[in-house]
Amino acid sequence: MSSFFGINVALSALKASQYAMDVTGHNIANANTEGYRRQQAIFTANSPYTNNFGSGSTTTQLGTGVTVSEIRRTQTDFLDSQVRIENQLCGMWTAKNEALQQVESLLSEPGDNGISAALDRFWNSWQNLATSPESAAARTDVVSSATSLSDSIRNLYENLRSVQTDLDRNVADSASEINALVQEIASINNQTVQGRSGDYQPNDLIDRRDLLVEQLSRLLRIEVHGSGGSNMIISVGGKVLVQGNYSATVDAVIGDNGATKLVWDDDGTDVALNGGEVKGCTDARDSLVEGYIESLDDITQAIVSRVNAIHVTGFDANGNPGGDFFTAGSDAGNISVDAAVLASPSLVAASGVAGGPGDNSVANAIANIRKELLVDSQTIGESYAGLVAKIGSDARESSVHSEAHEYTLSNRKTQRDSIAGVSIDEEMTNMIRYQQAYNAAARIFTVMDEMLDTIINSI
Amino acid sequence: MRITFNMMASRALNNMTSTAERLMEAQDRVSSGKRIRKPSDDVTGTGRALSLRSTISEIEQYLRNSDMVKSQLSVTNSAMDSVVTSLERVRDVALQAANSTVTVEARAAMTSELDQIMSSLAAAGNTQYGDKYIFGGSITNQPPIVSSGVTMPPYSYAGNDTQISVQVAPWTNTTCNVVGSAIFNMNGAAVPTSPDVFSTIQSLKEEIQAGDLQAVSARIADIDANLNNVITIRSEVGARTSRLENMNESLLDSKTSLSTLLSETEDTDLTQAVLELRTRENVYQAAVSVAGRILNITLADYIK
Repeated sequence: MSSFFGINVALSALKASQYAMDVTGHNIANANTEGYRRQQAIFTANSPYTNNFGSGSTTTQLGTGVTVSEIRRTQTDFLDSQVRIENQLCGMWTAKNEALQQVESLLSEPGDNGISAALDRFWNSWQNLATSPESAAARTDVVSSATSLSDSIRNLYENLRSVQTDLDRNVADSASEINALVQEIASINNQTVQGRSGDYQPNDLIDRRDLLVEQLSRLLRIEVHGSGGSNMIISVGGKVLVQGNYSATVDAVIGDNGATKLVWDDDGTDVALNGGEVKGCTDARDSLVEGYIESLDDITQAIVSRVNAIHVTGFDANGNPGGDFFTAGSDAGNISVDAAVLASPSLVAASGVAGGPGDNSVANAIANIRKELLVDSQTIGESYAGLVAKIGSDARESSVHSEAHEYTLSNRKTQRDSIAGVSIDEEMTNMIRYQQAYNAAARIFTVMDEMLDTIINSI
Repeated sequence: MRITFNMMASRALNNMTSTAERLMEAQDRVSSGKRIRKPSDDVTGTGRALSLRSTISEIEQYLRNSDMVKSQLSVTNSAMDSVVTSLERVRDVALQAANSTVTVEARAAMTSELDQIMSSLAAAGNTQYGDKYIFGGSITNQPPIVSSGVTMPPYSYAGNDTQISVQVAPWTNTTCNVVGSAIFNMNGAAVPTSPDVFSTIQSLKEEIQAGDLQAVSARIADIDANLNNVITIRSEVGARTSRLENMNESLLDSKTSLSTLLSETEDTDLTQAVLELRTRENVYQAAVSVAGRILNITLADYIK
C-alpha cells in the first residue's frame, strides 16, 4: 500500500462529488425541457484492496474510495405506455370534437336564420298565396322564400363538404408528420446502438426518442415493444413502423370515394387506424359528416319531389298548367327554384282548376306538405330537427369524451412527472449534500497533506 | 407522492384554464340572454325549441289568413245586406201593385224602379274585394253577373260554384266565399221551384205592365222564396265570421302559452345565470390567487 493511497481516496471523493454536482446542474438546466427525465449520479464504492494490513495474519479489505458508476436515467416505461394509451384516445376525441364544433356553429339553430325558420317561412308563403291566389305580390313572396330556403340548404351542404375537405387536409398533413417522426426515431435508435457499444449512456437521446414516440402516439394508435432500448419495435395494426434503425413510410392517397386515407408506402395497403388523431379525423369525415350530408340530401329530395309533384297538377296566373317549381331532381348541393319560375313568378301555380284563377287548392296542398310524413315516417320539419339533434348530441358526446380523456392524460402525465420530473427543491438539497461532501473530502485532502508533510519534512 | 415544481405549475395552469372556460360560458349566457347557444348545450331543449318555433310560426300565419277571410266575409256581408234591402223593396212594390187601385202612371213608375233595382242587384253581384270578383266562385277575374242580351233571363251567371277554402287553424279550413249562383238562385241552384232573382223581377215587371193583378199576387211567393234564401245565406256568413272570431281567440291563447314555453326553453333565467356568473368569478379569482401564491416559493429562496 502506498503512502499516497489516502490522497487517491480523497481525490476519488472530490471527483465523484464534482461529477454529481454536474449532473445536478444538468437536471436544473433541463427542469423545463419537454420529455426530460431526471438523471441521478449513482455512487458505487470502488473495489476494495485486499491485503495484510495490520499485525497478525488476518486478511482485511480496505475500501478504495468512490466512483460514479452510472448516470441513471429515471425509467418510467409502464407510465409511458399508460400515457401513450390516453394520448391516442385524447387525440381521437379531440380531432372529432373540433370537427363537430365547427359543424355545429354552421347550423345557427335554434334561431331565426337557420333552415328550420326558412322552411317555416316557405310553407307560410304558400298559405299566403292560398288566401289571395290572384296576387302577384304573393307569388313573388313564394319565389323569394323558396330562393332563401334553397340558399340556406346549399350553404349548409357546402359548409359540410368544406369541413370534410379540411379533415382530408389534416389526414394528408399527418402523413408527413408521421414520416418525419419515425425517421427521426429510427436515426436515434441507430445512434443509441452506437452509444451503447461505446459504453456511454445516451440519456438525452433516449429522452428525445421517447418524446417523439409520445408525439407519434397522439397521431396513431401504436404498439411499442422492447424495453425502450435499441431493440424497440413500434408497430401499427400489426405491421412494423419502426424497428431498430429501420423506418417505414406512409403515404396519404385519395381513396375510391374521394376521401384521403393513409396507406403503407411499400405495399399500398391501408394503414390500420385504431385510434389517434387520424382516426378521429377519418371517423368524423366518413361516418359523422357524411351521414349528416346524406340526411340533408334525403330531406331536400323529399321537398323538391313532393312540391314539384303537386305543382305540375296546378295552373298558374296565366291559366297555363304548372311546370316544375324546383329544378327537377336536385339535391342538397344544387337545389334551386326552376329558372323559368325565377324569371317570371306568374308561373307559380296556385289554382287546381283551369280557368279559375281564384282557386287555391294547389297552393293549399303545397302548404300542407308541412304536415305530410315524407321522410322515415316524419314530417320534413321533424326530420330536419332530428338531424340538428343528432349533430348536437354527437358534438356533446365528443366534447364530454375529449374533456374526460384530457383530464386523465393530464393525471397520467402528473404521475409520470412525480417520478421522473425534476424537483427544484430536491436538486437544491442534493446540491448542498454534494457540496458538503466535497468540502469534507477537501478537508481530508488537507489533513493527509499535513500528515505527509510531517513525515517528509519533520522527521 | 413526490411533487415537482412543474407538476404544481401545470396543475395550477389547468385549473385556471378550466375555471376561466366555465366563467366565459356563464358570461355568454348572461350577455346573450340565451341558454341554448348551440344544439349541444341542450339537445332535447333544442328539439323542443325548433318544434315550438315551427308551431308558433304556423299559428301566426293562420291568424293572418283568418284576418284576410274575415275582411272578405265582411265585404260579402255588406253586399248581401244591400241585396236583402233591394229584395224587400221589390216585395213592397209587388204588394202595392197587387192592389187594384194603382194607376197606369204609378205602374210605369214601379217598372222603372224595378229596372233600377235589378241593375243595383247586378252591381252587388259583381262586388269586388280588391281586384277580384268575390261572387264568381273561382273565376275571379271577370264579373259573374253578365247581361244575357235577351229579355228572359235578363242576366246569366258566368262564374262557377267552387268553394274557396282557406286554412285558419292547424286542422281547420273555412270557406271564404259565397257563390253568386246560390245568392241569386241562378238556374234554380238554391230554390229549384222558383226562377232566379232577375228573372223573377223581370216577370214581375211584365205582369205589372200588363196589369195582371193575379199574376202579380202569385209572383210574391217567388220573391219571398228568393228573399228568404238570401237571408239564410247571410246569416250563415255571420255564423262563419263568429266561428272565426272564436278560433282566433283560442289561437291567440295557444300562441301566448307556446311563446312562454319557448322562452322558458331557450332563454336564460337571468337571476340564476347572474348568480352562477358571480360564483364562477369567485372560483376563478381563487384559482388565480392560489397560483400566484404557491408558484413563488422554492427552496432556492432559502439557501444563502
